[in-house]
Amino acid sequence: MILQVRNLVFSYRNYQKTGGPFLPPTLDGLNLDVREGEHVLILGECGSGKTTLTRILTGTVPKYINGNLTGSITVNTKNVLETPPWEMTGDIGLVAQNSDEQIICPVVADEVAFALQTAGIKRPVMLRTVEDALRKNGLSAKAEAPTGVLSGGEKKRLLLASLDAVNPALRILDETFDELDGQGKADLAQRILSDGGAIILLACRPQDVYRGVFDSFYFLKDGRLQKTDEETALAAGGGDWPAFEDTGGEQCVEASGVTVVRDGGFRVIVPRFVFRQGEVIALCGPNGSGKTSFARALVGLDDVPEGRFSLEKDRRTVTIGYLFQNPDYQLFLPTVREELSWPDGRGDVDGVCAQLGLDPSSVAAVLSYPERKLVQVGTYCLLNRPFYVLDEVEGSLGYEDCRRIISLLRRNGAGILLITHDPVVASWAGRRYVITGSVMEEAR
Amino acid sequence: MNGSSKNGVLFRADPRLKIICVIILTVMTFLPLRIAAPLGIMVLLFVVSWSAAGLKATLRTIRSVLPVLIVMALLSPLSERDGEAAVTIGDFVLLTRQALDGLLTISVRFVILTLAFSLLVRTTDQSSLILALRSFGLGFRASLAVSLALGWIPAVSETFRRIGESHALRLDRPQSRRRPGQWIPTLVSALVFAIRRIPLTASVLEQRGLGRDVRPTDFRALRPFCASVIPLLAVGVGAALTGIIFWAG
Repeated sequence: MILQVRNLVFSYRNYQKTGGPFLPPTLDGLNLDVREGEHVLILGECGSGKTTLTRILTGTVPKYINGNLTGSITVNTKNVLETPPWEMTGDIGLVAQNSDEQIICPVVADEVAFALQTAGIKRPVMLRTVEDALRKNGLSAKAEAPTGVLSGGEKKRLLLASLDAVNPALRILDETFDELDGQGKADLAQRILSDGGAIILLACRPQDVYRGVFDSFYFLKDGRLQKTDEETALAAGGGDWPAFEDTGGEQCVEASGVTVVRDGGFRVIVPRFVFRQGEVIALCGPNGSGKTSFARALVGLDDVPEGRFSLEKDRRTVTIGYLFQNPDYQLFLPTVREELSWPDGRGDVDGVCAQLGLDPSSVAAVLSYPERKLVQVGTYCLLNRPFYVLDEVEGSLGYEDCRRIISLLRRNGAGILLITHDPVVASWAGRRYVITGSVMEEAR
Repeated sequence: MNGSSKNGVLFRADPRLKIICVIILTVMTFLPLRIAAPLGIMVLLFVVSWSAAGLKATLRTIRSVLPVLIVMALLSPLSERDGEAAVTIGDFVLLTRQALDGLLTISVRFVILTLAFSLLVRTTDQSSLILALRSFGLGFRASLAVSLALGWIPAVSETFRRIGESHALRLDRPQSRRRPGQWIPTLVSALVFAIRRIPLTASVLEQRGLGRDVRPTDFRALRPFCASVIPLLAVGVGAALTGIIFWAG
């Protein structure tokens, strides 16, 4: 066995004034065996403890994030709870759900090389290894790019390349398929099949691309793993989702002849873009093609060198709500209630919390990543904008949660622009814009 | 010299050479020279910075230290009370010539150091800077600490910008220019965000092998230093001569 987890129980420290020193267990008697070369898929709903499990396996919890942990974990015959993480670099590696937490170097190639440097690998070998890892992950052209200008999907590729360079015996991928484009997903699935190493993928929702890739399937529920089969796992959370109907509305935001330019050097030309109140539209395109850059220009955060929008920049900022890809950039107050009440405490905070399944008194910073996304959604529900841009809202969320969020935001007839790589989510839109090359046009 | 593009001379210069130049400049700035010497250096640096980074960036750099200069100017009447009067109000000596000279000297030194270090950072990519420091004997961990610190500052600044954007997106009316006090929630949020990242960064470093009992290697390498010796000597001799001329003069 490459991994043996026995009776793992973990509770986070309770930072609220009420209750005991620890919260109810996130993981409660979890057992897992992974054989060498085995591919394991673990599906769990938002907040079920997937990221907690990955952090325990890689030594972040409880060393750096407080909590009470019992049980045993063995990776490659080493006791994870007693072995320093630097002695397990060749045994276990992680691609985290939130890429920004894991990227430490300013340049792409340096990020891939870092673990090789600490291992004392000779420079000529290191150069070859880094080059191979970048090529395998489609990042050769960005080897010298600053890591800060990469798109969400490119950051995932970079973390995959960093793992490839070290080639650990067990790879843990936390929602890694989520921000990858269609080609990236297919490539990753193919590589899981061909690489031969053991892999655990944790995901909130099944995707078609997982079919035929994994050997074992589990649901993470109530802090434990329940074994299942491929058909049941891939059918979970699925359904025949209809497209959202156009409810109509008076307002409209248009862009004509707009050119979006970004630090990374690319430009996106948008001959014509129409966004009407009441409709749901999608924007698709490969990783790094400029979807987020266009969204930033659309909501008035960035200037455009050419072209014009029908609304002035300042007006767009207060007319179009924009849910960033990473919720951490939009949450900054201690509790969920304070966060939702900013800036002037208007609106039905408790009602929105109830609809999103959030506890208003909980500490926003210690919520799980998907829960933080829901808090982010909650803030915009209360703003009641006529338009919303949702940048990869499906990341770390199930389809039902996504539909619930979209319905909640458009309950008063708002128009929704979904930026997505997921064909299922894109199919919910009435119209679709696609970035091909450097041009963004409506798909026919 | 076309320094305004990233292919300019300063961008291509060996980072070790640039660090040595900055050290020489720093030392020269604190030599007991006549004010004309540091003034000349300041003007020269301004021109170099203009050509390498552009006028806008150069002015922005100076503007960033302006508040400190203003505070220094406000406090200067208190510094040298005895001496020849430079500014008077009736019979009251507001500012002596000695205090004025002192203010001028300190301000010029401050601007020189700011311009010099800002030029070094602007024209040297981070990995080259770290390599240069390592070639001067800085250990792997210390250089990593410098690298993380250099990365942390722009990360906090980026977070500050994004949180500011997030605030703007949640307002009902377009935001006019904010009063100083209104920056505080954004700043506090950015710092909280940055501090929250510290344990995760520490954990990531350990997962990537930091802590191993192995001598770390370098991914990048600077070209042999001898290639930079001739320009280094030229700059060193030129700087020393300039200093001597001003000092003697």
